[in-house]
This record gives sequence, C-alpha cells and structure tokens, in this order.
Amino acid sequence: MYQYDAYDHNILAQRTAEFRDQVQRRLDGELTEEEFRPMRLANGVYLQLHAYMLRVAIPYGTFTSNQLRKFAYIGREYDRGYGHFTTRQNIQFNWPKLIDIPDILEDLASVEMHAIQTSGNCIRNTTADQLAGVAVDEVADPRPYAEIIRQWSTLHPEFANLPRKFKIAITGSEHDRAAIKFHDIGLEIKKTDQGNIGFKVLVGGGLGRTPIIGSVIKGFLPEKHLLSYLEAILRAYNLDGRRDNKYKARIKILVLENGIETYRETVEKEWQEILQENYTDLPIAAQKLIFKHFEPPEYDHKPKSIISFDDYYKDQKDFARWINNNMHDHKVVGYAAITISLKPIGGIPGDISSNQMDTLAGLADIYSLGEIRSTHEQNLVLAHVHKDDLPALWRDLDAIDLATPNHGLVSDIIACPGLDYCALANARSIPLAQEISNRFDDPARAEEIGELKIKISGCINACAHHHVGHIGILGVDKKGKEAYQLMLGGSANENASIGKITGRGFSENEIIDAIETVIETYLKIRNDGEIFIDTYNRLGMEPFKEVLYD
Amino acid sequence: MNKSNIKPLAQQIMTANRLKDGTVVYFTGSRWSTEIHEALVSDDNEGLEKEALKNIENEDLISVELIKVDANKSQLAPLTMREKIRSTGPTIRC
Amino acid sequence: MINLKIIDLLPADALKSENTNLLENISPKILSAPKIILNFPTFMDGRAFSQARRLKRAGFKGDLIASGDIGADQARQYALVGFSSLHFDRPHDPKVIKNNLMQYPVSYQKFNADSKVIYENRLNKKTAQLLSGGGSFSG
Repeated sequence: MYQYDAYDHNILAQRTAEFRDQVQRRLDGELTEEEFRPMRLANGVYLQLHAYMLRVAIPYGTFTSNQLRKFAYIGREYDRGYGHFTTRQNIQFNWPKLIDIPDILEDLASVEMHAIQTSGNCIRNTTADQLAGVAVDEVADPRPYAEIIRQWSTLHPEFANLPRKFKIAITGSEHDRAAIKFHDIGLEIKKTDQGNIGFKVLVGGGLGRTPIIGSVIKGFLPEKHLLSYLEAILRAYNLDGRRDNKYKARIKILVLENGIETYRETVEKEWQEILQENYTDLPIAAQKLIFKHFEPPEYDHKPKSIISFDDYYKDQKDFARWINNNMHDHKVVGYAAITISLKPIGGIPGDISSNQMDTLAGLADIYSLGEIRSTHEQNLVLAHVHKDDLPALWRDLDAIDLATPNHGLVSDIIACPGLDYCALANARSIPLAQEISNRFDDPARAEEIGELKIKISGCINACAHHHVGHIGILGVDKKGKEAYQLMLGGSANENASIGKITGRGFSENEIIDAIETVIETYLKIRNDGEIFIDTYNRLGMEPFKEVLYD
Repeated sequence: MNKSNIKPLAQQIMTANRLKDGTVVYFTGSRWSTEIHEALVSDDNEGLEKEALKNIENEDLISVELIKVDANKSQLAPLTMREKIRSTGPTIRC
Repeated sequence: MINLKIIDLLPADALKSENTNLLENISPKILSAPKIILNFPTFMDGRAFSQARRLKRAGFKGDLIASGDIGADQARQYALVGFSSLHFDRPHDPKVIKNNLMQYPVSYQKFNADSKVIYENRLNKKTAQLLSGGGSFSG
C-alpha cells in the first residue's frame, strides 16, 4: 500500500493551511460566497439540504486500519457518529460545521488522507477493482497505476476548471468490477504475448442524463505512456468540450458529437506533441519507486482461530451462507477476500457507525494485514484473510452487525443519499432501499432469487448508477409528489448495457410491489441456472411489462 | 361561484443556511431562528424578501430563498417534500 | 518564488487570442508577438490554461497575459502553465497572490525544463533523503 513521503505530506500540509486561510477570509467577509464556493468545492465541501457535507477521497478505495480509526474519530467528534461510503469508493460526512473543516482536514492529513478534488469540474478520485492485487483473474495489479494517476492529477493546474467533472476507473481483470465502460476514461490492463503491459483505453462512457457506454480509443497503450496519453485526452477535452450547457459538458457528449474516429485523431495528434516534449510520462525509475509500495505482502499465516473451518461450515448455517455469498477467491492458496456488507436488512446502504469503524479497524489488524477496501457498490472488503480465521472473523463481525450474508443479492442495494440529504434530489432513495431490503429479508428467498443488482437514484444525475442496475429505480418529482421510474436490464460489468424504462412510473406506495412483481415473474419464467439479467436478456421486457401494467 | 377556482395567494417564508455551520434557519420578522414555526408568513414576497435581506448582514447566511408554505394547518408546513425534509431532518434517522 | 507581474491596464499592443481558439496550428506571426492576452471569460472557464500550454510548447517567448475573471488564490496555477502577467477584473489582495506563489514549491507535474517536479526530486540523491518518513520541509 502506498505510503506518503515528505513530498506528499508537504503538499497536504500546505493545502490544509491554504484552505484554513480561505475559510477564515470567508468568515471575515473578505471573500464572497461566489468566490468561496469553488474553493470549498475543490476541498470536497458541499452545502446539502440540512448542513455542509465533507467528502473524503479514498484513492482507488484502499485504506488502512489507522485511517479507518480516523474516520471513526471524525464521525464522533465533528459529525453525528457515522460516515457514509459512496459509489466513488469515498466516505462522506453529513453534518460537519464549516468552522471545523480545517481541523478535520488537518486530522485527515495526519493519516495521509484529504478531500482534494472530491468535487468540482476536475479529475476526481480514480476508482479501481476492489480485489486489486488479490484477484485470481488479474493480469496485473491496477493500484500502482491508479497511484501514478493520483499524483499526476492532484492539484493539476491545467485541469482544475474542466467543462465538467472527470472520472477515471481502472481494472486489471477482464471481468470488470470497476464499471470502466461508464467512466469518462476507463482503463483495462492488458498483457501482450511478449509479456508487455499496457492498457485498453475507453473514453466517453457515463451515466447521468445521457447514459453512454464508453468507446475504445486505443486498443493497446504501452504502460510507460499512460500519463502522456491521459494528458492528451484531457487537453483536447478542456479546449473543446462544450461549456454552453451543463448537461452536455461531459466528455461523452464531445465524443458523441464528433465521433470516436475524429476524437481519436485529435488526441493522437496532441499525444505526439506531448511525447516530443517528454515532460509528462514518469521515467521508469520514478515509476519503479511507486511500484515498490505495492509489492505483495508476506502471507505468513499464524492461526488466530481455534475453530475448524470445515466443521463450522457444516454446523453453522449462517456462517456457511456468509461464506457462500461474501467470500471471494484469492490468488494466494489458503487465503480469501471477504465482502463486508454495509447493507444490513432494513439499514441505510453505505452507512457505518463510528463504533463499528473502530471495531472493524481492530479486526482488519488481526485478520487482514491492517488494510480495508471500499467498493463502488458501497461495501467494504477485507482482502487478505486466511481461511482458517474466517470462523473467528465472522463471529466478531456478526457481533457488530457487519456479517450480513447478502453480497450481490436482492438486498445489496446501491442507493444515493436522495432527498433525505441531497440538495439536488427529486425523491428519496434510502427509504425505498430499506423497504425492499425488509420485503426480501428472508435469506433463503434471496439466495433463491440469486444475483440481482438493484440501484436507486433520487434524480437524473444517477449517483447510484440506476441505468446499469439489473433493476434500476429513478426518483422523479411528479407535481410535488415523489414518484419512481422503473428500469430493467442494465449491467455495469464487461457485458455493459443500459436499462430500459418499463413504462409509466409508480407512486411511493406502488413501487415496492412493482419490484416484487418483477422478481416473482422472473422466478416463474427463468431457465435453470439463470440469474435475473440472463432471463431478461433472453426474453426482453415483454413478460415483465405484461404483469406490471395488466 | 365555483370554489375550487379560487387560488389563495401563495403564502411564503424566508429560509437560509448559516455560513459558519450550515444550520437551516428561518426569518421571524426580526431575526433568524432554527424553528420553522417561528417564521414570518407573508403573501407579500417582495416585502418579505426586502425585510429579510435587511437582517442578513450580521447573520452571515448563504443560500437565502423564499419557500411556499401551507399556513392554514395548525402547524406551519412547507409545500414541497424537499422543504418539508429540510425543516425536519432526514426521514431515516433522528 | 515564481515571478508574475500584476498589471492594471491591458497593453494596447498585445495580441488578443479568442477564448474559442484551440491553437492547434500556431502561426509564426503569433509566435513572434511580444505580448499575447488569453482570456478567462468566467472563473469556471479553464480553456486558457490549455491554450497557454500550447503557446509555450510552440515556443512563445513573449509576455503571456491572463485576463478576465481570474482569482488571486489561483496565481500559482496561472504561473505554472506559462503565464507571466495577470490582469484582474475583480479586486484582488496582493498579499494573497504573494502567499499563493510561495506555496507548493514542487509539484507532481512538470511543465518545462526548469519546473521543479516531485518525481525528479525523488530520483535525485540530494533530495531523495526527504523520502524517508513523514514531516515537512521547506524549499
């Protein structure tokens, strides 16, 4: 895992001091709100419905137990005792006071964390596969590249005021757990037959008002040219992206309007110029320094559990269920990665209390090399657990309500904060997620239904990626009342697809029944071995439409 | 006369967030209060806005706006769901 | 510290480049101009940052002037991409500009042969000693 050196620390220290000064000047009336707003946004501070919100960056979703303890402390000291994990692998706090935020940023800087570029029209936090470095199907670990991008994009003076926000995702596996086809830039690590590493580069994917699947702009980009090529894409976009209409300002519209061929030519031409200049790409030696931080850890297992895995798996039904649903294969024999669901039945997706964070930090130290991952599906992962320790880990997690065995199932719902917190939302998302979760609280029924991705956004900005949910729900405002559109057939992985609207929308009282109707219909018409998305892809919308609107 | 055709004048109140901590506040006619039931209700938008803006300077407020309310109920209630939730807090946590 | 002039009046003899100009092909006439003005029509419009980079790359050696809705808190940003003068539309505090220019003596990005970039310091024996441990340093 990456550890800051004096240079990284120095950047954060200066940034914190700079923002402290800006907050003071705002409070003293030297800065107007209009002048101050872009400054606070550049430091992750939003004004939401009830209060300010602070979004803290978790680079490529990897953090340490000490950092988690700091989140717990911030939640307790400055907020209301909890934090919320987002779909960008970040954590946000919903109730900080502006006057406290410089102190919070100083606390974060002490553990190598910050809120830089978690808002505004700049390059946002680069996201990555949560199983990076341990996935069995991985070509190469995406984290060192994500770190290279993090450093290059941090406080980049040229790209601080892009036409719109800019999101990059990277995966090292063909099976895409990072939704790279729905990012402004998506990167998939590739290896040639000769063993050379590079990237397939996608551009212009995105959700929001105009959902688009990204196009391949370069089939194979040699790894040493990662930054120069990204810079070429960004510069072309900064100069020529639309600025006349907020809703047409993302790079996807530029690519769509010009066509991928033309855009590729523009980028290629700019790239050649950057290559000649030769300032942007990291020298191999500098790249090696970053790679050093990501060398595989030593897996020298000393059993901490006295319970036999096999016996426990046989005897303890809830444990077996958790293993079946939440455990992932690991590239080191004897080890596993575990999803810690932040979707307890009836709970708030992505929320975690300060007390849970503290206990979990201790468990990460004991069982998983002190490291935790956040996922874009608003869950956490312990990526280095020895299988012998799983019974003990499960008991400890269960004691703090973090052992819900529902990863990938009906109640593992992504939901944006919605109208309960968000100033942009049209409708609430969280209560809907809670109702669905309660309706399908029987774990046997959830397993019978199988893999199902439900995603609920409270407005068209699509923070919960509803277009790519197997079942997607979009909250709308219908004459002052909350209403919900239903979508079926979306997928965010390598078989990317955008969901289609079933028909007229549903009221708050109808939508849960409508979802149950869809699920019951699928159970009736599915073939053996099919999950929901397979059945939908085979039969289309009709069978669902018939029962929804008869 | 068809009763349903008579639209009462829109009753409004002024709201804002405090700069230093983000707290939601309402204009009472002389000061800004965290209690919506203390808000001054008026159908004179311009007059209300003018009076409220006069009282902003020492308060350091942001996101100042007029919102529609139903003042006929026993308790003052905003008309939109957004403002209802803004006045009472998230519906999912206390 | 980075040098940057603050000017009160836009020089009449400067060449003005339109904000929509992509500056893909830069004519010798532009390159040999003594002064060029790039415009930030709104604070949020960051096109001129990239235009400045293209002009500098093409070899422009004259005075590059940022004008329009620019901010004192962004002074260092303008300097890094190649501007040599700032012309403000709005009131600005010289103290804020000065402080801003002294911040972040090294960056993660390199823009020209002289710019101090972190990755080079990490590889340089003299500066690499700063790599170990946390804490901060000056210069």
